[in-house]
Amino acid sequence: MCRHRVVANRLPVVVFPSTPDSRCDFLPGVPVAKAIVQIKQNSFGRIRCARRGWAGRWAGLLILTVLALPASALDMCQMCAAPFGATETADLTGLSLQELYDLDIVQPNVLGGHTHPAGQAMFGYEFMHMRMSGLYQGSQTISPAQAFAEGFKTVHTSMDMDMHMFDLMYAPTERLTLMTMLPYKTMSMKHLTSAGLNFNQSAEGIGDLEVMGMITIFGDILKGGPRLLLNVGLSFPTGSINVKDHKDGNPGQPSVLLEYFMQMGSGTFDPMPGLTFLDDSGRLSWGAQTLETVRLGRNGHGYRLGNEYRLSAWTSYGVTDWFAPSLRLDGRWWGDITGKDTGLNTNPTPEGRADLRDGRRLDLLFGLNLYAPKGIFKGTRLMLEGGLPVYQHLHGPQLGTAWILSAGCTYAF
Amino acid sequence: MRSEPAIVKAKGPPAFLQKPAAAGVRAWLWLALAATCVWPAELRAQSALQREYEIKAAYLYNFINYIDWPADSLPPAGGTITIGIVGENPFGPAIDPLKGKQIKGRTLAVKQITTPKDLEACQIVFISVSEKARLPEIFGQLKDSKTLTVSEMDGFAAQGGIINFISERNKVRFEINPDAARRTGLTISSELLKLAKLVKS
Repeated sequence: MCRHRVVANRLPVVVFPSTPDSRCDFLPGVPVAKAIVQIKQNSFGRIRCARRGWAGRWAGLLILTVLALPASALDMCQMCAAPFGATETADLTGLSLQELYDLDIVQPNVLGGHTHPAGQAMFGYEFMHMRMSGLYQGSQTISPAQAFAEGFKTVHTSMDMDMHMFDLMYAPTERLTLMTMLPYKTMSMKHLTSAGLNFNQSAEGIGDLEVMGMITIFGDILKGGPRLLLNVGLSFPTGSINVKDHKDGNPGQPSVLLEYFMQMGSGTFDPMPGLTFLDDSGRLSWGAQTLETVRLGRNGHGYRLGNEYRLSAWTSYGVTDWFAPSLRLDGRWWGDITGKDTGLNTNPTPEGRADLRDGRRLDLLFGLNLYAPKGIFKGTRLMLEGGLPVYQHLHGPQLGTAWILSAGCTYAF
Repeated sequence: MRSEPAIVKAKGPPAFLQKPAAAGVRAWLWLALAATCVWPAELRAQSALQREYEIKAAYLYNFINYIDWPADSLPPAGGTITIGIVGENPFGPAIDPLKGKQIKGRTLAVKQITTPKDLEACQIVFISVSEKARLPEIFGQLKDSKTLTVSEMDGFAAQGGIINFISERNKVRFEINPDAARRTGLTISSELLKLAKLVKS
C-alpha cells in the first residue's frame, strides 16, 4: 500500500514500502522500484505510467493531488507562523476596550465557510461560464454523422452558457444560516442540420429562485472543528419554461419552443434536501456535501425534469491570510424527464427528446481565493475557479461539458 | 443563417477525455473523493475557541486600566499584579501574552490557584466554569479581599461575581454587577460600565 508525504514545494512524492518486488497498489502492475523512479524523474505531478493509458494517468494525478494538498497544508501549518494556526496565539492586548467589544469571534477569512455566526450577513455575486461540446453516447463521443444515422435531422454541436448568480445569506442564530440565490442565464447553442446547415439559437432570462436553510446539527461554528449541516431548500419556478427563438435561427421564421435545457427553469416547486460536512484545522479547511433536487408534480407544460443528485468534496489551504488555493471534486447524476413537452413534438433534435436526458458527470475544479482581512475592502472575498469533467456518461446523443470557469465576489458584514 | 459545407465533426473535449474510462479508474476516483471527505479525525480546529479566549484575555488586561483598586490592595509600583485562575484553565496559550506585561507601573503575572491561600496574592481571580458548584465557597474565601472576580458562567454576576463574560452575536460581551464591585471596594470607570450589561445581585 502506498502512503504519501509531501515536500515544501507541495509536489507529491510517493513513498513505498521497501520490498523491492512488491507491486504498487497505486499504479497497478508497475513494480514499486520502477514506479519510484518514474515519479521522481517527472516534475510537477506529470506521472509517467508506462503500462496505463491516459485514463490511468489522469486518475493517478487526480488522486495524488487530492491526497497531497491537505497533507502538504498540514506540514506547512507546522512550519509557518500566521494568524490562522490553532497553535499560534494572538496578542490582542494592544486593542482598545471598544475594539475588543466590536471584535468578531469567528471572522470571515480566505478559506470561507458555508454558514455564518449569528447576526452576520453576506452578499455574493458569481459569474459562471460553461462550455458544452461533443455529442456523447455513454462515455464516448459520436460524430454528428452518426447521430444523423440514428434518424435525427438536427444536432447540437456546442453551447455556451453564462450565468450571473446573486446570493444573499443571513444567520439569525448560530445554528441557522438562511440563503437565497437567483440566477440570470444567457445561452447560445449551435446547431448542425443533416443538410449541412449551421445555425444559432439563443435564450436568456432569470432562472429558478432557490431558498435554503442550513441548520447545524452537529458541532459549533464558534468552537470550530467538524460540523454537520442539514440543508433544507426549495427551488421556486421563477424561470420560464416557455423560452422561444426563431426556427433555424432565422429572423424571418416564426418562433419555436427551445429544447428542455435551453429553458430557464423547471416549472415545478423542487425540494432540495442535503447534508454538508465541514472541518478545518488552522490553515486548512475541507468538506463534503450531498445535495439533491427532487422534482415534484408536473409543470404547466405537462412534464417534470429528472431528479438531480450531487456529491462534492473540497479542500482549501490558506497560504497567507489573503490567499488560498482550493481543489474540488463535483459529481452529479440526473434523471430523464417524466412526461414531455408537446411543444417539442416537431423538434427533430436529440435534446428535444425527454427520454435522452439522464447522465452523470464528475468535475475536477481548481480554485484561487483572495480575501481582504483589513482595509476598506475588509470582508471581501474574490474567488476564481475553473475545471473540466474527468468523467461523464450521458444517455445520448447528448451534449457533454467541455469546461467550466467561474469568478465570484462575496462581502460579509 | 449561414451555410457550411457538408457535415462538420463536432469539436470535443481533449482526446484523453473521449476515451472510455477503465473500470478501475472509476474506483480510484471514488477513492479520491472519499479521501477528501474522511480526513483524519485528529485534525481538529480550535481557532474560533482560541480566538474567543484571546479576546477574553485581552479584556482582562484592559479591565485593569478601567478599574481602580483601593491603594492598600495593589502592590507598590514595580510590583506584580497577579491574575489567578481557579479550576480548569480554559484560556490555554491565549493567556500567555499577558505574562510579564507592564501595566500601571507593575508587572502582570498569571498563576493557577491550587490552594485557598494562593487567592490572597491575586488582584484578579478568574473562576472557571468547572468550579460552578463551588462558587459560594470561593466567594466565601474572597469575602474580605479587594479582588476583582471574573467568570464566564450563567448567573455569575447575579450571584455576586463582579464581571461575567457572555457571548452575544459572535462577539464577547460582559456583564458587571456594580453593587458587588462597590462592596469589594473597587471603582469601575463609567467607560467600562457603559459597554457592560448591568446586573444586580
